This record gives sequence, C-alpha cells and structure tokens, in this order.
Amino acid sequence: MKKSILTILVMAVLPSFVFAAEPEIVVTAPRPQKNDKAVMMKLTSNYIVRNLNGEQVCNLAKGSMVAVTAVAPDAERVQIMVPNGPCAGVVNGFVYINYLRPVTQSVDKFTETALVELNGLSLRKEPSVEDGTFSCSLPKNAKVNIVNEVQKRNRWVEIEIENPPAGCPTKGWVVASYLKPDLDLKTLPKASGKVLTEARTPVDCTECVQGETSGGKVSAASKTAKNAQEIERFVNAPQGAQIPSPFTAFAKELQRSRKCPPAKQSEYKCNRGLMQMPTDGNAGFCGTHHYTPDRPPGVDTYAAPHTACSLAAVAQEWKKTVCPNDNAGCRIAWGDISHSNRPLFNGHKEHTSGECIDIRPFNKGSFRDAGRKVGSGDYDRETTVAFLKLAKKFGGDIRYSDRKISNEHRDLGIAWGGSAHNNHMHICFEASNSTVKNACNNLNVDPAVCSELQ
Amino acid sequence: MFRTAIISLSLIFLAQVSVAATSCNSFIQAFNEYTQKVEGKIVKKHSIFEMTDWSRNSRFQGFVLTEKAPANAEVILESKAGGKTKAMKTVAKKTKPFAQDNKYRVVEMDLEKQLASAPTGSGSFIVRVLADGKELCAEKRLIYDDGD
Ligand SMILES: [Zn+2]
Repeated sequence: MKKSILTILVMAVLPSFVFAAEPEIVVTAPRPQKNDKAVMMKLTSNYIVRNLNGEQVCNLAKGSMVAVTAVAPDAERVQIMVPNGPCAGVVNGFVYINYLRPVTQSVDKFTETALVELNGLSLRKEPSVEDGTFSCSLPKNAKVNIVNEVQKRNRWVEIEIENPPAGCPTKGWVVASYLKPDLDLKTLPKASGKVLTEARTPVDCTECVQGETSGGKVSAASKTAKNAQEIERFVNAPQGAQIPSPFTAFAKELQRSRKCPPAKQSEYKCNRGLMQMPTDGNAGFCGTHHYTPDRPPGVDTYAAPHTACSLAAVAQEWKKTVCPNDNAGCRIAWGDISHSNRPLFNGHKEHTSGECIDIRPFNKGSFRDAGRKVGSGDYDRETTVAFLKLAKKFGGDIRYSDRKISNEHRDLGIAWGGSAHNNHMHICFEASNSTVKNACNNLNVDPAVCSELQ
Repeated sequence: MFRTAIISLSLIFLAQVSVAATSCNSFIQAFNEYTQKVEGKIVKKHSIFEMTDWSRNSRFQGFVLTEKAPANAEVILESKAGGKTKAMKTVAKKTKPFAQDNKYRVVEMDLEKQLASAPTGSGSFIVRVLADGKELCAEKRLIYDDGD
C-alpha cells in the first residue's frame, strides 16, 4: 500500500487553502512559495489551541483536520493552521504533537498512521488489559495504521501492523497514548516565537530557564513559582509511568508553567508561573461554568499549578458524584481566579497568587447564570454545604458569609467574609496545605468528565 | 477588613432610603446570555431570574418585561454609582420581543454603561416600571464591590 504524506503549500502569511469535511480534502491551488510545506494532520481529541505563551487562542473539535506548518522551539508543539471555524485565520496557534495523527493518502482513502513509541507495547485481541487478551509485544517505531478506536478508561485504537514481527498478527488493539505521530519534526520549519506570539509580553515562556530568578523582591508570584516545584515529581514522570493517558496536554501545560519563573513586577513575562485554566466561551473545565469573564477571554483564569490540579480534582469529583447534570443548579459556576499579568486583580490582593477562586452559591432547580446570595429565594444551602465539604476534603481554605453554615459546620473552618462574601465563596488551594500538595499526584483525569484537560 | 466595614456601613445607610416596597418581580426580570458545551458543541443559552444586586459576582446583561407588564410599559433606571457625583437616569420607552423566549420583551437599555462602576465603588440603582404615567412598581438594589 503506497502512501505519501499529503503536503500542501502555504502562502507566506495566511493560507488560502480550504478543505471540506473529511475524508474528502479539497486543496485550492495556492501560489507556490519557496519550500514552505504543511503536513495535514487530524486531532485526536477536542483541543484548546494555545500560543507559545500557553494562552488560549481558540478551540478545535476532535477529528479536525489541521495543516502543520512549523515546529515550536521546544520541539514538542507544532504550529497549526485551519481554514474555517473558530481557529480560522489564527497564525499563532500551537498543538502538542502527541494530539495529532498524520493522515496519509492512498488511492481511495485517507488513513491515519502512527509509530509505536516504546519497546514492548502490548498488542491485544480486544481493547482490554484482562487476562487472555494479550497477543504479542510490538517493538519501538513499528509502523501501524489506525483503523478503529474506542474510548474506555483509556483510549484504545485498533491497528494494522505493516510488517508484524514474528509471532504477531497483523491486527489488534493498543492503548493510543503509546503511539506517536509518524512525522519527523526536523523536516518542519522552525516557528519563531517572537514573531508569532501576540502576547502582552515579548518573551516566550519556552525561553525561560528553570532556576532563573526574578531579580525582584520576594513577591506573591515568586511564592507561586516556588510552590509549583511541588508538582515536579508528577509532571516529570517518565513516559509509561502512571500518568493517566488523557492527562498529557494538561500536565504539559503544568510542567511549562512550573518552568516559567516569576518576573519582576514591572515585566510580567511567563505568566508569573501560572497556568491558564481552559474555557470556551462560558464553558469551563469539567462541566463548570465561568461567569462574568474578563476580556480578552481567559485573561482571568490563571491558576497556580497546584491549584489547577485541585480545581480539576474538585470539579471532576463533584460532577461524578454529586452533579452529573450540566443543566442543574448544582453545576459549579466560578468567576475570578487570577490574571497572568496583573498581580492585583481589580485591587483584590487575594486573587494574586493564582491560588483562590470565587464560586457562586448553588441554586435550587435548573442551572441559571445568575447572581444570588445567602437568603435569596433560590439559594440551595444543602448543596452549597456539600460542595464546601468537598472543597475542604481537597484542601480548600474557605471564606463565606452564611452564618448558619458556619455555625453548624465548624469543622469546615469557614472564615467570615462580611457582606462582601454573601454572594460568593472565596476558596483558596494553597501550596502550604499538604492535601493540596498531593492534588497533582493523585489527580486522575477522566476524559469522559473533563475532556478539556486532555 | 477595613473595606468590609465600609461596605457594611453603606448597606445600613442604603437600607434606610425608602423606595416603594412593591416588588417588581412580576413585571420585570433580569437576564443573562451565556454559552454551554452540550455533547462537545458550544450552544447559546440564557437565564431569566429575579433582579439581583450588581457586583462582580452578581450582575446581569439586561431586563425583560413579563407578560404581566402592559404593552406600553416604560422602564426607568436611576443609578448612583462609584465615584460619580451625579445620579444617572435612563428612560426606556421601547421594548422588543426577546429573541430567545417570546414570553418576554427585552428592554432597550445599556446596563453596563450605567452600572459598570462596580467593583471600584458602591452605590445603588432603582428600577421603576410605569404604564400610562402610573408607577406599577419600583425596586431598589445595590451596586457594590464584593471584594476578594
Ligand atoms: Zn475571591
């Protein structure tokens, strides 16, 4: 089966190609331009496209076809272009290469190909690790075609092996995260971060080296970066270790955030060591709702890495155990976290370090994007207590002004916040708390609940 | 702590300013439009709810009149917010069908412009619903900085 990677030519500034829904790809003839080539690839999951600074640019759906035009300085992300949809015209969008599969063109169809990433990958008769499903072990870099996929706890793909080793059948199932794209990044042009980022700061985070100091005074930001080292063991775990497979992009953003040092207060480069929690319009991570977003979107959603893990853990647990229905009043609605470039968030000192989040009290009945306070007719105190208990379980430090809750649940240790805190709970997940410290180590993202964190 | 004390004082002060106690709920409601992910796709949604105070954590995009409000109803919004020295007053004589729900009519009024001083200051606003020059109801709410 002869295949050639479909390459298309890209114009210098904006691509003029269009392609229709797969599998048919129509390429309008662009003006030939030097040797700029783009490789067509397909996204393996819903994905939040970010610029080199890790800031959200746009969202793409699973299965989207993208043109890969360059490789990022870290050699882990590639620059992408798409002709239509929310990412059309975006020239600073990057995707981690592991989320893309090249599509190759045979006579009558497009086939997705991949390489085995590590030696000894188990090929199984069924998408399951149970006894009796094992067929054989595949060597590193074995070339495979993906013919089917199924999402269980892990994503499994059915593959055809081009040249199966002795004792191996030509077909079987493997866990998708142990495959890598069949693409040599060295063949792509290098993306220039300085030209491509439109961030507020000229410095690309990838240029920040670990251990670089702020040169300024000890600030909330430097505390954040120091705390972020706590998750090092987790995010630096080797391939094949117990990192849940759908967790990679989230973990990589955490890792990058950790590497970005705090900056002088006068030049907030590298997002102050914070990472941006994913949002898409008002839709937040793990089925949550982000109310009153600042502009540009996502600018108020920066969290310290350990807090990002805690928030994901709480939201996931809440959706799984208490509130699976996004149309119910128990859905988590959150407001401010922190800004990447403004330590003083609207003058609020406590939204500086990326460790605190504002959450609305819950309401009875169906979900409403509406403010409410203790004593409002639709206030659901019982659900609010359940949530506060969960937040506490994950190490949350709570400020909230509901006298009845404070009195009846002294174990929650709720700080009184005056009348300013009777319409929201102010909850902090601080690195000094040992429970919070473990948040990243214990986080196991369920792609069915938190697809945004894949 | 200090700011909280100031807000508490202003709450007490504002509570003493008398406004017709008639609740406007049956005539006028607040609304928000938002997006939500449904089976992986972003869809537009809206919520209609009882008017709330105005702050970072409780704000809304606009007003809609209910079916109970007469067709010729007028809405007056008076506000005094933040560092502004003068009170603002807007009269909306026009309503148009609320595209998202035809049970309601949307009031043509730019709330952001009039109330957006939060969270930098505090104040209050009064909404009055009138028909044929007669006040059907008036409701007073706070504008405030809800802090950290
Ligand atoms: Zn807060």
